[in-house]
Parts: sequence; structure tokens; C-alpha cells
Amino acid sequence: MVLFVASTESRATQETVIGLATASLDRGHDVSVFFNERSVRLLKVGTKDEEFKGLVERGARLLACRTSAMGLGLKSLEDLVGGAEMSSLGELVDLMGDSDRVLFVG
Amino acid sequence: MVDLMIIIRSKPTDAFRVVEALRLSAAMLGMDQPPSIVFLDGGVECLREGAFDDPVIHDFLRAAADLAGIHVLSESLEEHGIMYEELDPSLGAAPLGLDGLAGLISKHDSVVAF
Repeated sequence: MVLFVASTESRATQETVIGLATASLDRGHDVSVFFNERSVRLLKVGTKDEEFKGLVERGARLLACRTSAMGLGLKSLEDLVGGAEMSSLGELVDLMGDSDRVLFVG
Repeated sequence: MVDLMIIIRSKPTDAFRVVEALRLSAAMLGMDQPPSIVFLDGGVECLREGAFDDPVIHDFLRAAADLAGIHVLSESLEEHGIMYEELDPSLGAAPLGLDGLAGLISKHDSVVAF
């Protein structure tokens, strides 16, 4: 399994995450993407909905840090693109332990 | 089990990166998987007394220092013109040279820099 961790809400982070997740799925890897801090905004409904949904449909997990989401006013799953999940730093630590490779994208 | 070393190289002006590192550290401590934490480059300025106005950030720092222990790269202190005595004594940062840093890195599976 490959885990990507995003932190910032920059367009570069968004494109890198989508690109790397897609490429990893193409190679047959299980993919999880954890959106931490401000990067949770990337999952807000109305951003890259179709591309993120495409990742979910291919089996990728898109996880939003609940604490970060709440702090940014994204209080429920309805505020996030379809298929995204609310998560926690505790789950991030578990995922880091379970993953074969972890990449902090920034 | 996560065997991680966290490097903090962001200055206090990039507090969101420092907070991110410390929040991850807190989560790992909470799950009994303490990381090693090293401050270097601009990150050494975070260890000065009064580096952060936000008391919450200082609380995160104290928790990391008390529960995991923190290191500071001596070469970075010198590059930034900071004497060890200028650091917040309550944090108890252990000075480390580059050789020691290399040795510490070799003891971990992964290293992430903020």
C-alpha cells in the first residue's frame, strides 16, 4: 500500500496528489491519501470533484483529518467530495505503520 | 509500528508547518510510538524563549520535549547565531552534531521534514 500525506492547499499539491495517486493505481498499488491541515480544503465540494471521485471509484481512499476539517468549517462529509472519509491523526499513524511506502507531499 | 524521525526546519514564521509536525508527534506519542524529533536549519529558532505568541504551540513543544525528548543541531545554532543558552531551558533540547544526526537517522526507518 502507498500512502500520500498532503498538507497545503496549493494547486501544486492538488495536482501532485492526483497524479501520483493515479500513477500508483495504474501500477496496481493500493492507495490512500491523507489530507492534513489546510489541504483538507482540496476535498471541498466543487474543487476537483470528478478527478477525486475517479480515484475513489478505482479503490483509493481519500481521508480528511477531522480536526483540520472542523477548523476550516468543513463539518460533515456533505462538505467533501463524494467518497471522501473523515479520519484522524491516530488513523494516519496506523496507516503509516501499515503502508509499504509513505510520501509526505507537502 | 511506525519508526519515524521528524525533522523541523521551518521557522516560527511558518508556524503551520511546525504545528503540523508537532501534531503528528503528539498523535504518535498518544499511540505509544514516540518519534525522534530534531530541530535544524530555521527550526532552531522555534526553540528560543518566546518564539511563538500562541501558547498552544508552546504547549505542543513542551509536550514533545517532555514525552519524546527533542534534539537541536549544533551546526544550525551556529549558522543562525544562536547560543545554546538562548534556547528555552524548559524544553531541554539536547544538542546534536551532524555526525550524531547521521547516526540518529540510521536508527529510523523513515524521516520526514517539515
